[in-house]
Amino acid sequence: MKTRALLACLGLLALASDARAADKPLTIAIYAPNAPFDSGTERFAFINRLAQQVTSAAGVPAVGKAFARFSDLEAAIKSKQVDFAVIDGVYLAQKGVPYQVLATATTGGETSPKWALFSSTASRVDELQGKRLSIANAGPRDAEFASNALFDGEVQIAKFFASKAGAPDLAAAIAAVNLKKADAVFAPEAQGKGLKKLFEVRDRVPNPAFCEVGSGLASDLVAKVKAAVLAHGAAGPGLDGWKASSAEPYRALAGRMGSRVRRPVMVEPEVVRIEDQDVLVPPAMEPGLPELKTLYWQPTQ
Amino acid sequence: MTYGLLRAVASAAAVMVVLAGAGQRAAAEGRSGSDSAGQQSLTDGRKALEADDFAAAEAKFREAISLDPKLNDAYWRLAAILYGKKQYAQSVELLRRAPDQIDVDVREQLGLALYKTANPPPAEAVRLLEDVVSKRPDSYAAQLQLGQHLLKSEPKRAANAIELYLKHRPPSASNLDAQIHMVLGTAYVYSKEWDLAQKEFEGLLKTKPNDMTAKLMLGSVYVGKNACSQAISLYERILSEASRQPSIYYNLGTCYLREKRAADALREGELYVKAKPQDARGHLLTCDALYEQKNFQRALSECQSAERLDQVNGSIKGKVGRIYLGMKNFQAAQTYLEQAVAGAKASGQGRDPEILGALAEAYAAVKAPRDKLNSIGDELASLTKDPKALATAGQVYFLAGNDEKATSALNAALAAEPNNLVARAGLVRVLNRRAGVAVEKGEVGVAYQQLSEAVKLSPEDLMTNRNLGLVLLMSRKNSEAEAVLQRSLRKVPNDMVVNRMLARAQLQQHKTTAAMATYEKAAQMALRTRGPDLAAVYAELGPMYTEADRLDQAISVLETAVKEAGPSPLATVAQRNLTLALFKRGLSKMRDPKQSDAALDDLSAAAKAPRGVLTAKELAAVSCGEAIAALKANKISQAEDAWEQAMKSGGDNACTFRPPYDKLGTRFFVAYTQYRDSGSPAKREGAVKLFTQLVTKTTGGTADWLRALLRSGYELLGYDFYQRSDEKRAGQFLASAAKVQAKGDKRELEHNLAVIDVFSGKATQAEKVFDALGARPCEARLNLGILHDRVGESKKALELYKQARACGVHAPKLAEWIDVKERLFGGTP
Repeated sequence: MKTRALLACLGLLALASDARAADKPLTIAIYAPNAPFDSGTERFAFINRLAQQVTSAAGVPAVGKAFARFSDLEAAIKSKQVDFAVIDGVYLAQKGVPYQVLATATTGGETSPKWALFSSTASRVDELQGKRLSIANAGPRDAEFASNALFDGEVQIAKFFASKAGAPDLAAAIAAVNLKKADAVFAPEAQGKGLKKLFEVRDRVPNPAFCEVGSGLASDLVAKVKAAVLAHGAAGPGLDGWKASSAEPYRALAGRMGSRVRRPVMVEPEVVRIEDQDVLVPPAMEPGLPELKTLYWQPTQ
Repeated sequence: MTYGLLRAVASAAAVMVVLAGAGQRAAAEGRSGSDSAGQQSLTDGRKALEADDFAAAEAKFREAISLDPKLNDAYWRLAAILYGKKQYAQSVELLRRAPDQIDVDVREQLGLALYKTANPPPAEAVRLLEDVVSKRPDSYAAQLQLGQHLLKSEPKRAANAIELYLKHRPPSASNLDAQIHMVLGTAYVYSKEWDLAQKEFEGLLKTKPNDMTAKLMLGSVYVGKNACSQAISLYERILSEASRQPSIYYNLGTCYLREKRAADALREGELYVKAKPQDARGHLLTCDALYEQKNFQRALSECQSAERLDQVNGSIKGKVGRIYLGMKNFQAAQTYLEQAVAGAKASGQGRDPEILGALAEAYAAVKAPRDKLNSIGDELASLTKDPKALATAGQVYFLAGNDEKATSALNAALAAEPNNLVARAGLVRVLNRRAGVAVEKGEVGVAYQQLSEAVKLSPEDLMTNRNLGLVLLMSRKNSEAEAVLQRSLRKVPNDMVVNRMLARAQLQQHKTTAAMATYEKAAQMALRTRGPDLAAVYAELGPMYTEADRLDQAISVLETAVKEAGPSPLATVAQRNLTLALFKRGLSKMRDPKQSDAALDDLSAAAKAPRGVLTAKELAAVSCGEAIAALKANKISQAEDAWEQAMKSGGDNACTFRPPYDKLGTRFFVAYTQYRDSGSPAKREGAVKLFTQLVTKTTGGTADWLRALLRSGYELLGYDFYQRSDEKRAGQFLASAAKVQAKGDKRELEHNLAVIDVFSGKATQAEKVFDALGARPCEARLNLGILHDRVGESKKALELYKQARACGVHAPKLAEWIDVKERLFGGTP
């Protein structure tokens, strides 16, 4: 009796799940504070257009949802309110790339723009010592991102700068420098208009990624959605398209965020060589001579 | 000579019988009187006949017979007149009515007339004529008719009859002599009385130098007596007549063939065939000429044409069989030759040694049972008086592998005809083969005896002399061998084998320069054929180049030798000599530090010699060479492998070293190689242990050198473990290094110890050391920079990094560090 009841419950659950899949639209979220959007409105419009694209191109109803804090996004994912998400590249690297990356957004056709350090007041990096660094709050390891990934481990921002001015997004961080509320900001090179570029970051920083964050999504559905996203060419402003991608560039960025330890170098000792040229005494070896018997001229028959 | 001419001569003679005989017989018989009317008519008829009035004579003889049918003389005289008028049947009818049928004149005239009544003539006619000449040999007309009759069937008797005709013919008949001599010459030709025939035709040509028939007949005589040079000379002068007398083509061609001018013979044969396509002889001549030219296919075609035209001639099958033999179609050859032999037997012809020899050859080729060959040999050997047959028997026995019988038969042939070239050549071959058997058995003395005998028979025979030279070489009679081979070389200066053996004889007498030149000459010839010939010459020449330190040349020719030898046993010798040359060149190159890689290439190649090429000891030595070369070329892994091979082949004493290394032995070198192995600290530890032991056992310079090696070993171990991030063990080894009392600079050791200090919390102390070391080693600058970086002195660090880079440090990320710092801080301090 108990078993029958359990089976009945499981059957109801399955039905409910199927019904949800059939009726409920997909939720595509966005959390991308380092993306080059001028405002939250622009970011929200972007995700809605993307959801429409998925709806029309993949034939799957979808809705867009924007998040301003990573903790909200994480909570929504945890509570299965989100199926796909456009996730900030820096944040994704800081989290160790826990989601399946399907595509990377492009800016000016590139998936990983060059970043640089901009200032409105200083003309050299060392002039910034003791000044304020503006930075978009993306995740829990933003300082490591700045010190190690952007400054290549050469500058520990906590020591070098007097303070770090956190901003909700990149536009706000840049605006803080423009408004002299801060002295410097790291941003993609295209975003530093009107500011002085002091330092070019050696390695590029990947743009936001389109990730599959929901669990149990059918593979054909994921494929349809991915295809629809990749086909979403005129996605801008800010992000202008998508390219198929993987977790690799985000993992590389995560690697660069680690602190640098410079290990002293040993001198490889020279080996002691045998300088003498004639070391061996070769034995006497007699050359062989072919048998002569074979040269006997046998009279032919 | 034509039958027309013969007939004319015979008829004229018959009439002359009447003319000439009339007076003689009458006188002899005493019948000159006139007893009756019949007798008177007979007398009148004879008178008319003497006056050449044949009509009156005929009338008178008829009258005499009608008047007196018993007048026997009237019958045969009238018959003679009728014979002259070619009324042979009337003549015969008249003579059969003659009263005295046994009268010689009646029988003579009856024989003559009857002979003409039929073709072939009735046997009775011949019998009558033979009877007449036997009873009265001076019956010249009968002799002449008989001579004509027997010309082809019994030419000797024919010649005799014509000789008697000429002896007894009346002088009035002398005007016919030229024609009669022509007939006589012809009879001589048919009876193969060549000299008599020649005399007849030469006599005719003296009186009539342009007599073409006589010329043609004389040519036939020359051909018949095998005087081909005379025949050719004659025929070539009358060649313009050949279109009218095609026999000229045939006879000239035949003689050309005998004179070994096959091409000329072929031309004449073809002209003859064109002129007389239906004459089998032309095709046979063409066939023979083509056979001589070894154009077997065309020869076969011509012989087959001949066979179609003349199916009686059994010799054609023999020729076809020989052609098939030449074409190596042994089965067909056997079939035809067997048919030829059987045909000859059936027709009662003698055994043709040539055909039997060819059949034996075919049997040998198809590997027919030896019995068949021996049977032919026995058959030929039974012809004990025929040197040619005996010689062929010897050849057949030789084919059967029966050298004993071959020797007997050939000796018998030579006994019968000491200059029989075939027998002599055959015996030389048999002796060579018997000597070859002795060589195979290692009985060089026996071989020498056989070949000496062969040389006596044929002093200039190349095979014998070459084999004798070889046997002398094998007997180490080098100077004698050289003499024999030099002699052969005069005949065949470009013989590769003779040159090679001569070179060997010279080499074994230490005539190095001459030997090398001779080998090089042999090589020039061997290059045309390549393969084992070239391999053998190069295999012997190569070591001479090696000895002369012409090592590149030695290796080049020996590599070719190995390639050309293929899978033959020669390959082992060539490979050994190549290995020795490579070993020598490798050791030589090892003396030049710039050629250490090339030296290693040579010694590696030498050490890779196939199994069996070197003895174990030799292989050990070569492997030692490879190991030392690999060390010099810094190919440590290869050196380790080579030492392993050396130890496997020769154990602890695999190599012999020069002082002072002789005291250290192979094991030291193995340890030294392990010391050089940067990939295995364990091996280095093992090496260091051995060095520690050896230091205590040596003194002086060797001990000093070993101590330096020991300290270096510890230092390298320290470095190895540091690279593996095992700073603790690295520190221990470096500390050990510091304790070794070795001469030499210690700055690097101090530096590396300071690196360990950094990890031991003694950064300040380390900083002092790095600072004190300055830029020696360069890494001190880098490490000092790192220490400054650690305390946030980026600009100072940048400066030190730049100094380190300028000094030559190749730290992996140094360039990046400098780049970032320069971009951050503008490169200014």
